[in-house]
Amino acid sequence: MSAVLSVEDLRVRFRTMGSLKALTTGTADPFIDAVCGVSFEIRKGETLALVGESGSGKSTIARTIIGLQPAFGGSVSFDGQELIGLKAAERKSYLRRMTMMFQDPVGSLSPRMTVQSLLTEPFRIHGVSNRDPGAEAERLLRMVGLPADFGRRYPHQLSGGQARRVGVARALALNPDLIIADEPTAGLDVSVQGEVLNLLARLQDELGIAILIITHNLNVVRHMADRMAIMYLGRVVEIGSTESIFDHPRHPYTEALLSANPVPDPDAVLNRIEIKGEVPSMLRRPTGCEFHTRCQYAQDICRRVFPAPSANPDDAGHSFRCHFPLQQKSQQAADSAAAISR
Amino acid sequence: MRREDPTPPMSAHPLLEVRNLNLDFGSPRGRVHALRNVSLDVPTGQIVGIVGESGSGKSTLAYTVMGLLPENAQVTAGSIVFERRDLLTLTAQARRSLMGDRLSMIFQDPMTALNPVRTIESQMIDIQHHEQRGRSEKRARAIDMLKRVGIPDPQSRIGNYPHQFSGGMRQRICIAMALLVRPSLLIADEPTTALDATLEVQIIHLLKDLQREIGCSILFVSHHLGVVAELCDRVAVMYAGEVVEQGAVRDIFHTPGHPYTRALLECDPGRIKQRTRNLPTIPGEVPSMLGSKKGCIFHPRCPHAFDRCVYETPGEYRVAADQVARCHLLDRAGMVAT
Amino acid sequence: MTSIDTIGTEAPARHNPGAVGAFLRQLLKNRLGMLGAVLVLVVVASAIFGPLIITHDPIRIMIGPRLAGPSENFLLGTDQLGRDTFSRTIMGGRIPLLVAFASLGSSLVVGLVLGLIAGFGPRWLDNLLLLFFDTIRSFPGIIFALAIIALLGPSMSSVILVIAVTSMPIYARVVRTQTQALRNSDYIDAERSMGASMTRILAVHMLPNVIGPLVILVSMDVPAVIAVQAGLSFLGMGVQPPTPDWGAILNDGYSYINQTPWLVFAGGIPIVVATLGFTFLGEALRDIFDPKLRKDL
Repeated sequence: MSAVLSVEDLRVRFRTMGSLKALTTGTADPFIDAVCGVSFEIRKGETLALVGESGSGKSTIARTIIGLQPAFGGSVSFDGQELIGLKAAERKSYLRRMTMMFQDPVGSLSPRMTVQSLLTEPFRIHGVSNRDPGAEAERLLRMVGLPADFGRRYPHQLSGGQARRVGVARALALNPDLIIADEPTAGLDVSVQGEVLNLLARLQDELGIAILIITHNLNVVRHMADRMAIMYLGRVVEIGSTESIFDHPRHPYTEALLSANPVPDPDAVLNRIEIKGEVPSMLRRPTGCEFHTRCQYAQDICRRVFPAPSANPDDAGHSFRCHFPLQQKSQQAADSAAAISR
Repeated sequence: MRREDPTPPMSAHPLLEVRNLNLDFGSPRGRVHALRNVSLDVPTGQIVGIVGESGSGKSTLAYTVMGLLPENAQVTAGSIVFERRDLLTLTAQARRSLMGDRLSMIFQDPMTALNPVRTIESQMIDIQHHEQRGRSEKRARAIDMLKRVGIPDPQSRIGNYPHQFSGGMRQRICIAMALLVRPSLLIADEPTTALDATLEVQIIHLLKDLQREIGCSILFVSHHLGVVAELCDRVAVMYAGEVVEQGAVRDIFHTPGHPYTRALLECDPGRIKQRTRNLPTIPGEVPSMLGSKKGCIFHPRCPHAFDRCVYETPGEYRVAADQVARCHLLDRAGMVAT
Repeated sequence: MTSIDTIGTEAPARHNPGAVGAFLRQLLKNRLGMLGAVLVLVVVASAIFGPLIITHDPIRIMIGPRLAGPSENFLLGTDQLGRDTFSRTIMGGRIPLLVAFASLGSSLVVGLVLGLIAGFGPRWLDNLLLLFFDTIRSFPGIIFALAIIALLGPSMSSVILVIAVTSMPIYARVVRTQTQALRNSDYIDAERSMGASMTRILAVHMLPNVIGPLVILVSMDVPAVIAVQAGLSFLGMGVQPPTPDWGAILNDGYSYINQTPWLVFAGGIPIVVATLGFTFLGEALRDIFDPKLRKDL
């Protein structure tokens, strides 16, 4: 299957101070690299999850893909067409086929519009006028399982879950090929969270849409995503199939992140890898491997040399950046078996 | 690894005893019954979790115990007995002297809980106003507490302002401030919700360690079942302003007695080991809290509801030695009403 | 997740289909607001339908009693030139209202446009516009007024210009602050991500959300403008005789206060009624529409 979206070596920089201040304080480089050489691709009908903690740059990537944030370098190509460097007018036609859902379910709906006009906003923006707005709104509401009379409501009259459904419906209005969902379950209760994820999964199966999920919620990732990429300080440190990463994380950060997911079972036996400290500031990126300041396996080389990506021998789709990757469990078992027999 | 020590036996008098608490909010559309017949015990030296979804009244309960309610709130019935004194009948002054001394609280957003224009040092010294100590001694205690909550280099960082710390560090500072007064009860309202997963785990462990060390009780409000399972000794499950089930954490998570508790646990994707594209949900919506309710509050969404659930409000039935739930099904199963 | 302050509070009033009805219901409950609305209605109606009400030509100098007291023919007596005071008072409201609406209206439009540009445009443009607003505001108001009047001569349009220019930066700043708060909101990002044009975002999504507070602010400035206009007329720097105008009537009355005290009232009471009416109405508008100041609990 061909890639709907392919991101290559994407770089996004933010200015940290005005050029005058940079000049007076003698700062040569008044920028931070919020996204630093990120590459991934999403195939048709596939779900990729970008996972990371706050400040890892995952939302910035989404905003750059959709065009809310200029890229500093690299390439974002959608269905073979390079999007970086396109003018707003040229980009517009691609925004019909690629839509984004924002974090705040209610806050991402214009507060003074009815649900019906919110749902038909994409038609107006893209000049699709040969459709009856009432019928279209009804079709979309039915698609996401809301009653037709919701069309008359205003966003503040919706619960979080209902507002999220409206957001999903609007994202689907123009039959996109790709939906970017930024924390689709943020602020929703667990019972409602399931509804929204089931809805996305069903619509994906029916319509064959590719989904890019941006989240910190690993439970969402495990059930929704085919592949996942773990981000740390604006870089992808590990990428691969969800199963492979959950079963055999190779990067120590992934391992820690996976274990930092409290299980609702008081008797769960945890081999928790608790990482010390906090994410370093992007203003002062550590040298070498950027995780070395918090990594329990860090050696001298980690402080000096930035690790190149390496792939699993049996699974080229699973790659990671680490000098001392964790052993795969099968390997560990083999090693310990060998030790016992000895 | 955890909880190798059995739950300590309940003493004759729990530290905090909430009995039949009813609380209304006045609103333009009528009275909102935010808490109905809430009864809850916090035994000495234990961590009690309150779980529930948004609108369940779990934060309202915490704020009521702390006495931090908006003007339109009104307690219509019940008592909150803390260290054998009813907080609801205390004078404002007597209550104030308890707060920040025997009772302290940490909030969801650590930034709004700290005064942004004062240094950590002055805020941490001020909070010790109940104690007869010199300023330098208070400062030394503050530094010591900052060290214990894991603030690196507390000697110099104590002079900093709240915005100079990261979110996780700020929550650590809030915990340090709350524990500095050696409270017997710490109320924590979603203290890890605003934090990342790795920090959340750090804060939970910190709370657990400090609780063991200081021996205080904690009332821990959260919507995160995993965190509650890991941290708490006892759990109360709230739904639409009522405590529908409470008991020891193991009983609640392993043998939930109330259909809502069961549904809530089933919904948590963290419990579902097998990858699925069809996650369980609770059909229906949380009922409006306006007006009086007849019958079981959960019956419109309950898969097992029968006639009695519609017209009769269920009382508490014992499910296990230390577990009660409000559900008529338990009566049918031959349980004895308490 | 349950934040304590969201329980039991109503969502802020939004522009719903039934909003006009809801607004009127709210206004009926607000006694001062109702009083204000009635006073404003009286003042505005008498200004609009003035020609139908008046008993004499307000500028015709009558040969007859000067400074006469109220009588059947002259309801409020006559002034020093023998003109009918009642007719002059009725018609005298036209100028203050016209000045208020023209000056604040134009200042609202300009302030709105410049504020939106400053709030949504690039940083350098924002800085430039802010500098411009602050420059205007740094002139002391009365000096600025005197300078304009010295330059253009005393007339109604000078007064309108002075008031429009001096109030515009305040409105623009309010709009700019609101726009900046909104420009990073999720729903504006959502519109941009759908490919909505800048004009569409500003007109359809920004404008309805910034115009409400602005209109309230402007309505609360109406009484101040009426007072300033009357003051300038009183000083002889506003509308020139013989045009009837409350400030001018007040000035006439002031000169003859010993002979005819009612002349002062004929100019003064309408000013008081109009300013109070607009003040009460403006405050009621604010209380009803501004959720932050609204006390509905």
